[in-house]
Amino acid sequence: MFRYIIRRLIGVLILMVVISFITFLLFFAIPSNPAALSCGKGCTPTVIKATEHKMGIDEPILVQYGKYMKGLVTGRTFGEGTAVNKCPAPCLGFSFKTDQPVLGMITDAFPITLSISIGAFVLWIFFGISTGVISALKKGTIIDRVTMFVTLATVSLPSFFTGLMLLYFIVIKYGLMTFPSYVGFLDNPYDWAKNLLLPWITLAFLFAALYTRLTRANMLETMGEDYIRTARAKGLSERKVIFKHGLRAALTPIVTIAGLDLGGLLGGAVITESVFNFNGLGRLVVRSSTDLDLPVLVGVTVLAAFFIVMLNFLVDLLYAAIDPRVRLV
Amino acid sequence: MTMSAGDTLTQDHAPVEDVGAHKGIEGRSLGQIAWFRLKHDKIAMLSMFMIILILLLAILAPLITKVLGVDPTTFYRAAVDPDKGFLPKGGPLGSGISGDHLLGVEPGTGRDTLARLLYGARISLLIALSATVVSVVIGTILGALAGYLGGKMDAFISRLMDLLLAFPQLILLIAMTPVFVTLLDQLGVPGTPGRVLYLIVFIGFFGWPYFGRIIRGQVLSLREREFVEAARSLGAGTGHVLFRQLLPNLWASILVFSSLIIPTYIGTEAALSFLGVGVVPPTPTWGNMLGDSVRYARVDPLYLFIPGLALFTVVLFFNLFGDALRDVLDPRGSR
Repeated sequence: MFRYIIRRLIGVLILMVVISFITFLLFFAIPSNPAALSCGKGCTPTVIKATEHKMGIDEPILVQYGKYMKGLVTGRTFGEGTAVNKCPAPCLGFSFKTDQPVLGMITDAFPITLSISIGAFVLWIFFGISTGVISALKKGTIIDRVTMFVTLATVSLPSFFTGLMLLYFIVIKYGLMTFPSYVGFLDNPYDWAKNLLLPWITLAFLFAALYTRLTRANMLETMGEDYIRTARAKGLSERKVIFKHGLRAALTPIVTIAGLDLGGLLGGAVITESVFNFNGLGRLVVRSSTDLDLPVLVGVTVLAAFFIVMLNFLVDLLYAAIDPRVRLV
Repeated sequence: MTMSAGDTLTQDHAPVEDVGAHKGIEGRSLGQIAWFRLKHDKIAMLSMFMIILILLLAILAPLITKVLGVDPTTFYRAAVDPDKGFLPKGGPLGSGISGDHLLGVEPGTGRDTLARLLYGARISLLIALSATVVSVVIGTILGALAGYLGGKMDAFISRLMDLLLAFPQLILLIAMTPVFVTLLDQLGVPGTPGRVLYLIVFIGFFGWPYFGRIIRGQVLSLREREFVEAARSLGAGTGHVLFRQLLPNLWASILVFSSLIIPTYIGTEAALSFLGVGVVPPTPTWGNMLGDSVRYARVDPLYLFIPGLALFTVVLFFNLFGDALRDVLDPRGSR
C-alpha cells in the first residue's frame, strides 16, 4: 500500500511536469504578441521590446520554461534596477495585465470555485443517487419512466440556460431573492449558503441527471447478479439486500466518475461562475483569455490539471477501500 | 421498451420481408436488424425526423430568410424604439414580434431574431458535426492502431490518451482561444472562419481520447478472432486488416459514439460563444445570442428564451436519438 502510494505520487509528479511543459509551450511558444496588446495605440517597437523584456518573453522558450520551473521551486525576481519585482516561491509569475502575482490571483479566486463545486457536488450526489436507486427499484413503473424522461431533458439543458432561467424567474420576475454575490464562508456561513444556492442548483442540475441515469443502470445490473439472489435466499431483509449488497457494488463505478467530475470543476466552474458573476477560477480564465494574460492562463490551466490528476489518484485509493476485490500493488 | 420491440421484430418481420425473391431463411446484417428495430421505436423516429428537419432548416436558412424578406445582419431601425434605448417596438413581452419579424428583433440593433436563429444553427451545427468527425477519425485510427499493434505503439498511444484526459478541456479551450485565433490570423485565416476552424479542430481534438479508448478495447478483443487471423495468414498487411477487416466491425460503436457526442459538442460550442470566446457577433450562434440576451432579460425575456429553447430542443432530440441508437446497436449497453 505504502509503496503503491509512493509510486503513484512519483507518477503524478512526472505527469505534472509534462503537463506544465506542454501548457507552457502552448501559450508561450506561439507568437501572440501580448506585449503589443498591452501597450495599445501609439506603441513603438522600443516600448514593445522593453515590455517583452519585462515580461520575460524575449528569451528562447526553453530558457523561459527553465526559469518558470525554477521560480516555482525557489522563487525569482523580475525586472532590473529600481523596478525589481520579487516573487517568492512558489512563483507563478506576474499578471501581464495587472502586475499582481498570479499566485495571489489564484488564491483569491479559488475559495469561490471551491464553494460552488463542493456544494453542488453534495447536492447532485444526494439527488442523483437517490433518484437513481428509486428509479431502478421501480423499474418500468410510471415513476421510472417519468424520471428517465426528466433526466434526459435535464441533461439536454445547457447549464448557462438553466442558470439564466433561475435568475430570470427567481430574481428578476418574482423577486424571491436578490442577485447572488459571493460572501466568504468564514464571514457569514448563512449568507454564504444563501448566495450560493442558485449556483449550486444550476451546477447540480446537469450532473444530478447524469448520476441518476448512471446509478439506475448500475443498480439494475447489480440487482441481477447471483449474489443478490443468494442474499435474498439466505433470508436477508430486502432493505439489507438493497443497501448493503446492491447499492455498495453499484456505487463503486460512480466513485470514479464523481472524483473526475469534481476534479474537473475545482479548476473552474466556468459557466456557472460566469452566469452569476462570481469571480472564481473559471471567470479568471475567461477574463485573462481576452487580455492574453499568459502567466495567469498557464497558472490556472496547470492547477486545474493538477486537480484532475490528484482526484484521479485519490479515487484509486478510495476504490481500494470500497471494493474488497481491488488490491493495490 | 426497445428490447420488446426488438424481440417481436425478429419473429414478425422475417416472413414479411423475405417473401418474394428470396425464399427461406436469410441472414441479415447488423445494420438491417438495427434499422428494423429503430423503425419501430417511435421516439427514435420522431427524433430522427426532428433532426433532419433542423438540419434542413439550417441548410436552407438563406432561402427561408429570403422568402421572409429578412437578413441576419441588417439593422431594422424601424423595429426598435430609439426613445427607449433601442428596445424592440411592441410585441408580447417587449419582444418586437410582428408580421415582419416572426420571432422579434434583437434589442439594441433591431436585427431579426429568426434570421439570426437560422443562421446561428448553421454555425453551431457545422462546428459540432465537424468536430465530431475530427474526434471520430483520430479516435478510430489511433485507437485501432493501439489495440491492433499492441506493444510500444499501444503504450505510447495509451499514455497520450491519459495525458490528454488530464487536461481541463473547457478551461484550456477558453484559454487557448486568443492565442490560436491570433495564430490563424497570421496564417491567413482571420475572423469568423478562423474562430470556427479553431473550435472544430480543438473541440474535436480534446474529444478523441474518450473514443480512442473504446475502439482500442474493441480491437483488442477483435484481433484475436479467426477472421483476422485468416486475413493475416493470407498475407494481408496492417492497413488491410485495420480498414477492411476491423473497421466494418466498429461501425456500430462509431455511430453510437457520434450520435451521443454531437449534442455535447453543440453544448460546448454554445458555452464558449456564450462566454464570448467562441464565435463572436456579428456572426450569430445560439451561444452568443444567449450571452447577449442576458443584459435584456428584464425588458425582453423572450430574446433569452428563444435561443435557449432552440438549443435545448436540438440537444434533446440528438440525445434521444443517440440513446435509441445505443439501445439498438449495442446489446450490452445499459438500458
